[in-house]
Amino acid sequence: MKKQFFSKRLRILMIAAVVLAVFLAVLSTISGTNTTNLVQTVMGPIRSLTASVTRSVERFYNYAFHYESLEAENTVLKEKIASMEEAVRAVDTLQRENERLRELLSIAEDHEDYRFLSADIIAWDSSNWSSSFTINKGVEKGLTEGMCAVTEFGQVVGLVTAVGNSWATVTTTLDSSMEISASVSSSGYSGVCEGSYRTGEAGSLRLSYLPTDAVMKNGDQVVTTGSTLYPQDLILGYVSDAGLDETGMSKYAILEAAVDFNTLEQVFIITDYETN
Amino acid sequence: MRLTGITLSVIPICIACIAVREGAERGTFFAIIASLVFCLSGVADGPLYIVLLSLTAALAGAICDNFYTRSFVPALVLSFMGLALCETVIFLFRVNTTGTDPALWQTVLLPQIMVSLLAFPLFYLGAWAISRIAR
Repeated sequence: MKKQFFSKRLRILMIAAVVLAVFLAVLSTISGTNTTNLVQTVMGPIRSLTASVTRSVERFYNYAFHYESLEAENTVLKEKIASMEEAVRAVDTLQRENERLRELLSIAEDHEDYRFLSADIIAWDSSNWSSSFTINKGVEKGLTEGMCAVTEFGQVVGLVTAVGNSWATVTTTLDSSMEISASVSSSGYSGVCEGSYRTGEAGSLRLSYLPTDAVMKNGDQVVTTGSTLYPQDLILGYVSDAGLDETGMSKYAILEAAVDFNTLEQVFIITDYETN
Repeated sequence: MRLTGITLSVIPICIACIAVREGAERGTFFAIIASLVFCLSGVADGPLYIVLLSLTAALAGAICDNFYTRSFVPALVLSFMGLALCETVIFLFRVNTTGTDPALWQTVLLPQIMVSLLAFPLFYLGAWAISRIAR
C-alpha cells in the first residue's frame, strides 16, 4: 500500500489547528483580553525571569564590544545633555510664556500634581510591524488604559493600551496607530504627531497638519499640547526635516524621537495629573 | 530578542527542528501547543500563527519522514522554509490589513529571516538533545 504524504492523524491535527485558530480569533473578539490576561498573569514571573536573563546576555555582549569606561562616560554625557537641554528649553519658553517655562524646567519640581508609578519593561513586542512592550505593573497598582508613560527626563514613551492584573502593554509613540496633539516649543505651531514605525522610518515621528507658512529649524523641540491622555509640555522629539505634505495644503516635519528606545529599561506611568 | 535592530523570529525554527527530530505527528502536536501559548500571550496575529506553525511542523516533519534523514542539513533547509513561510504570510497579511509598506520586504522581512536563521544551531542542538534523552 502506498504511504501517504500526510497521515490520517496528521490531517486530523491540522484540522484541529485550523479549528483552534478560528475559535481563538472569535473568542478574542468576544471576550477581549480576558483569556490573554489569565495567560499573562501566569506567565508574568517567567517572562520577568527571561527578560532579566536576556538583559544580562545583552549587557555581556555590550561589555564585550564596548569599553566599560566608554559606557560610563556615555551615561555621564547623557545626563549632562539632558540637563543642558532642560536649561535651553527653559530659555525658549521664557521668551514666549513665562509660566510654561517653569513647568518645563523640571518635571519633578514643577509638576507637583503628577503622580508617577515606576515600571520595568519585561518584554518587547515580538514583531517588526508595531512598537509596544509589556511592563510589570497592572490593575493591581492602579494602572488603567490611556495612561501616559514617560522617561525620567519627561520624554513621552507612549500610552498604556492594555492592562491585566500584573502587567500592561505600552504602545510607543513610534507605533503608527499613535496620534498625539503636539506643538513646536520655540514657535508654538501646532499639529498632530504620528508614529512612522510601519513605514520603515524606525525611530522617527511625523508632525503633520502644520501651517504652510510655518518656519522651523533642525533641532526644534516638539512637545505635547495636553489632552485627557497626555499632560502638557512633555517632550516628544526634535525636528530633523520638514516639507509640504502630499496635498500641498499643510506642512509636515519629521521628528527624531526624544526617547532612545533601544536602551529603555524602565518607564514612569503618570497615574494622575491636574488638567487645566 | 533584537539583533542589529531586527526582532528575531525563532519560534518557526524551534518548531521545525522539533518536527524534524520527532516526526510530523509529534512535531505538529507540539506546534499546536506551543502556538496556542504564544497566541494566548497576546501576540498580534496569534490565531494565524497557530495555523502557520502547525503547517510548518506538518510539512517539515512529513518531508523529513518521506524524503530526508533526521540530520543537520535537512533541518536547516526545512527551518529556513518554515521561517520563510511563516514570516512571509504574516508580512503579506500585515500589508493587506494594516497598510504596512510592501517595500519593507527588502529592509525588514529578508534581514529578519536571515538573521533569525543564525539561531538555528542552538535550537537544533536542543531538539537533538531532547530526542536523545527521550530514547
